[in-house]
Amino acid sequence: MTLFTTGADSLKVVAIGALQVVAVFAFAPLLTGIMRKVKARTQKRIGASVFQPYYEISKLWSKDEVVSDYSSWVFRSAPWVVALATITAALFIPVFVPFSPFSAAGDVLLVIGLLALARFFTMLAGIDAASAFGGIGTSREMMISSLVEPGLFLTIFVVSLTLGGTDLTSLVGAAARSGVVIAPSMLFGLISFFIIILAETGRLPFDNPATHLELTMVHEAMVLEYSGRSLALIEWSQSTKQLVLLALLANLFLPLGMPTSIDVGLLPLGLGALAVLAKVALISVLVAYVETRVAKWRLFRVPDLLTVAIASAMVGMIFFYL
Amino acid sequence: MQVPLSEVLTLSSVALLVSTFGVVVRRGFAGWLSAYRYQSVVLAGSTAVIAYATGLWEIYAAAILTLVVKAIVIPRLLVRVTESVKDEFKIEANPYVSIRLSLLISALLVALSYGVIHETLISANLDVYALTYLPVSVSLFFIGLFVMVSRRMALNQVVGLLIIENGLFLFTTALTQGVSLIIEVGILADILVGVMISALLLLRMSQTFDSFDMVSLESLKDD
Amino acid sequence: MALWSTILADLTAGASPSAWSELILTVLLTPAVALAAVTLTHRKRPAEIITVASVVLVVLQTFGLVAGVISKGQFSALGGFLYLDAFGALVLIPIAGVGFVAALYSVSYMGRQYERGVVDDRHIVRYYQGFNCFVLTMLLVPLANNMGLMWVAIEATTLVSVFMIMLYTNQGPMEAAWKYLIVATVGLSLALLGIVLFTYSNTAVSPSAVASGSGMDWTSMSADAKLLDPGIVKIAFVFVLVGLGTKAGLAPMHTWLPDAHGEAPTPVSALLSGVLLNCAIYGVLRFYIVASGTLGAALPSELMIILGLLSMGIAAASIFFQKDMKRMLAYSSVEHMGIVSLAVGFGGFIGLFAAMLHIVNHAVAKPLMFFASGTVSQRYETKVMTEIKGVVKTMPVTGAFLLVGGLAIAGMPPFNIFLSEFLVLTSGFGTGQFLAGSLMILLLVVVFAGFLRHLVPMVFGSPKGPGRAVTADSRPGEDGAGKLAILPMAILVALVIVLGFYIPQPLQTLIRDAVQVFGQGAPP
Repeated sequence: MTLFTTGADSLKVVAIGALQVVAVFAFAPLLTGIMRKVKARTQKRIGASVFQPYYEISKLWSKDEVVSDYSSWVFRSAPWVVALATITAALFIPVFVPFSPFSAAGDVLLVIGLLALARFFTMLAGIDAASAFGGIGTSREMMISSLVEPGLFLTIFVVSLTLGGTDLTSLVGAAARSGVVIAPSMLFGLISFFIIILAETGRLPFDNPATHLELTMVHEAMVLEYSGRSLALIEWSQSTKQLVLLALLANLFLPLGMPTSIDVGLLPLGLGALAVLAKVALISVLVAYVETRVAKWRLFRVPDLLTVAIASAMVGMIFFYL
Repeated sequence: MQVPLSEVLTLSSVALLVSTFGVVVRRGFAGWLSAYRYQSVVLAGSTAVIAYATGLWEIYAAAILTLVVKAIVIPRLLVRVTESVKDEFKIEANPYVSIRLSLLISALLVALSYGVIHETLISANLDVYALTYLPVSVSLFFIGLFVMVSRRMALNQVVGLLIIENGLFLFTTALTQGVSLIIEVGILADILVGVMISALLLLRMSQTFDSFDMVSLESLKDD
Repeated sequence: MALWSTILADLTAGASPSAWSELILTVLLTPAVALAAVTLTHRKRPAEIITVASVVLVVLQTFGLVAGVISKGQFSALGGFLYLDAFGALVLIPIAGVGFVAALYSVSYMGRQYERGVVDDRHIVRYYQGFNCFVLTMLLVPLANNMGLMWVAIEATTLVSVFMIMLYTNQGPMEAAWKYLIVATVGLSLALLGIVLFTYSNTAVSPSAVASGSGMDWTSMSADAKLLDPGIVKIAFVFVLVGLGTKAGLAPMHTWLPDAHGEAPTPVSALLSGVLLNCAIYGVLRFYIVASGTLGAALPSELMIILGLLSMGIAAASIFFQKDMKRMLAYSSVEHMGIVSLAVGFGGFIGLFAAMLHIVNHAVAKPLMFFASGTVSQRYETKVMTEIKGVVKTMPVTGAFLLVGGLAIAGMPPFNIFLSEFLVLTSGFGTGQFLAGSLMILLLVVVFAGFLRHLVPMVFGSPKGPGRAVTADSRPGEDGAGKLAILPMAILVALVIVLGFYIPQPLQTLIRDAVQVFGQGAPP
């Protein structure tokens, strides 16, 4: 599929790509806000407004940073690496429209790699500050991610096998074309992917995003030393990763309402984008609800759930070959 | 939007398999009992799907009976009878095969059963119910067998038995489609009585033995 | 012979067709009513009387049913749900007979346990409740036409027998009961898979079966045997063979048997070995008939021969080195079930005749051994054979019965087991199965040697044993076993001796008719 055919086409393509990234960046904190609100409501609290994450980020942006003397360039550069990696990953993913301008240049494996890069630098930053909490967070994160990564790969294999190819635009297009027909392998992939998303975005029962207790924090422990602008960047990247993964879930496994390609005219595209937004919001409500129902699991029980995800993906592959 | 039958059948068999994984991954008596409740509900749902598709009232009756007996009566019975059993007999601290490994092996057993069914029955022409549910029930059977063999605590071996019975029930319903409701009832009654007797036996055993370890249950041997 | 046929004609002359169906129902109702009565009275003495009365009635009704089958062929009840033909009637005889002798023996044996305080009032009543329930469920097995009903009945017998093994609350019986429950339930689940597959193949080819709801009936399956899908039937038969074979004690699925039969109360062991194994092998053989109709006799009989030889082999080795008396008898049951399987595998008229005869003979000889050894171990207060010596001096009558029973079980002429084993060997060599036949001879020799090795020191020699009632100067002639223990053993010994020479004409006719059910070979 050619990137640039005529001048007008190429303009449209670039515009859509840019618009998509901006939209992703803009909507990400809103998603976090929705989740927090849902959690608050189910816990019979009023909770902060859904726009609170925006206020927090803008507050942090204008504050001073305190940096430990014992840290190195890794600590200072990590937030930027994380943010850039996440934005770059977002570039390759068709979030609101079934098209991403760069998907011919990078496929789903690159996306996973970029997200892994972000995680890697976060882990390094945790150890770099030479604080005890950072070490705890990093070692816990390593244990969890050593199982999350294979699970993610297996799930992507299932999706690639069923839908054909690893190029994300063609994957989403194929998903949209398959309509209501549910392949059993995709169902198993859905279950596996949902569990993986919970792990990747640091949600209960893997990790509590709202705690700072030594016993329970994983991601929060790694970024405990950050303040000011760096912390704002990290929070924003986390929200962006969340939105991107949830949108991937919606587009690959629940493609209802998504137009099959970008050449369908503006109105269907707009409706499709709204549909994606609605689906992502619904899924985030579901995730928040699940979070209120479970408690944080003991660290050595966490691999149990991840093994369920891996087993599910394995069975999905089996079903594909039947 | 007309959802085709095969889709719904696939959906229910996927749900059944996932709920079985949910039962396998639990470590303690209370854990697998509540997961077993969910699995029984899914089983009743699958039976209701078959009932809806074939229109036979007997299968509806079987579904309701399954729901009542397996999701309500059996868990309550087991909880009541094993109330006085000590907790150390209920947690699977050191199984023969670790819980996570047994989960992966369960996935492989699903593959095995699908392969076996397709290889051996490739010549027979099976209708859509048999085709979907036969491999699922055989895999439930294998998984139940494996769980029973790999658990060390005698109380936790009952879960393997219950999974086997679930697979059997699905098998019978899918293949015979209510040829004899009385037989289904008889089978359910057998299961109920069997669970009662095994629970009683386990209760007496816990009062007689020092530990529930299967290792200690090896005094009867040929010398 | 003329005498028998006139008796038969007189008995069946006035009976109308529906009378037989009613008889099927009443023979099932009798133990059910007894169960209810025992539960109501809830005391030891009435329970004993009710149970004995009920088994006597069952025996009488069974004679009636056998007469009906010989004269009429087969009949059904409850709209085809229940069904009786010659094969079923043949299996019915041991159930009724052994039930009768076991009930008599129970009164004496359990009475002794009660006096010694091993069991109390509650347990005794529970024992008799279980006994009646056991008889009821076992009677249901050969009477069922619907194979699902047969499965439910066999599973019910498993549960009841576990309940009865659980009566003693020591470690041994508990462990045995648990292993038995688990292995038998898994095996029966496998068997149900096979039964459902058979049903499926039947309903797939026979719309009339679907319409009349008789897809699971054996009569329907065997009638449609040629039409069934061979692929499905092959798998289904393997499942049924392994599953019901577990219950029948065929190796290598026999592992629960020594424990369960060894730790149960003696009358229960007799019922388990003499009757329950028969019911299970009956199930296997019903499906063998259907499978050989579909697949031809080659594959099924191969499997039966292999399992038969394996059972005999493992049993022979275990008998030789065994120390516990009841476990040895349990392994002997494995061996004899192997012989039945082997006989069916050999096939032909003689093979099947021998198999049927062996089912009856084993059901006569094994309970005799269990009763005798039970009485001996009660007196000597041990089950270990090396500790028991000089039985014929301390308990002359029982000792004699023990010797006769032991020789019979080991296959010595002129007792009944020898006759059926000889017929099996004849059929084996007659159908060209020389390897299998020679192996069988070898294993029989090993079993014989093993039995004699254990039995002779036990029976002869100067009295010695750990029991307080056994001292070197016990007066000979004092038997110490109650009349009600001697009587059933005497009946069985008489049968063991008589059946070694002479098979009564009705029994012969019944066995011939049963072989006809198998549809193989004509009487020579």
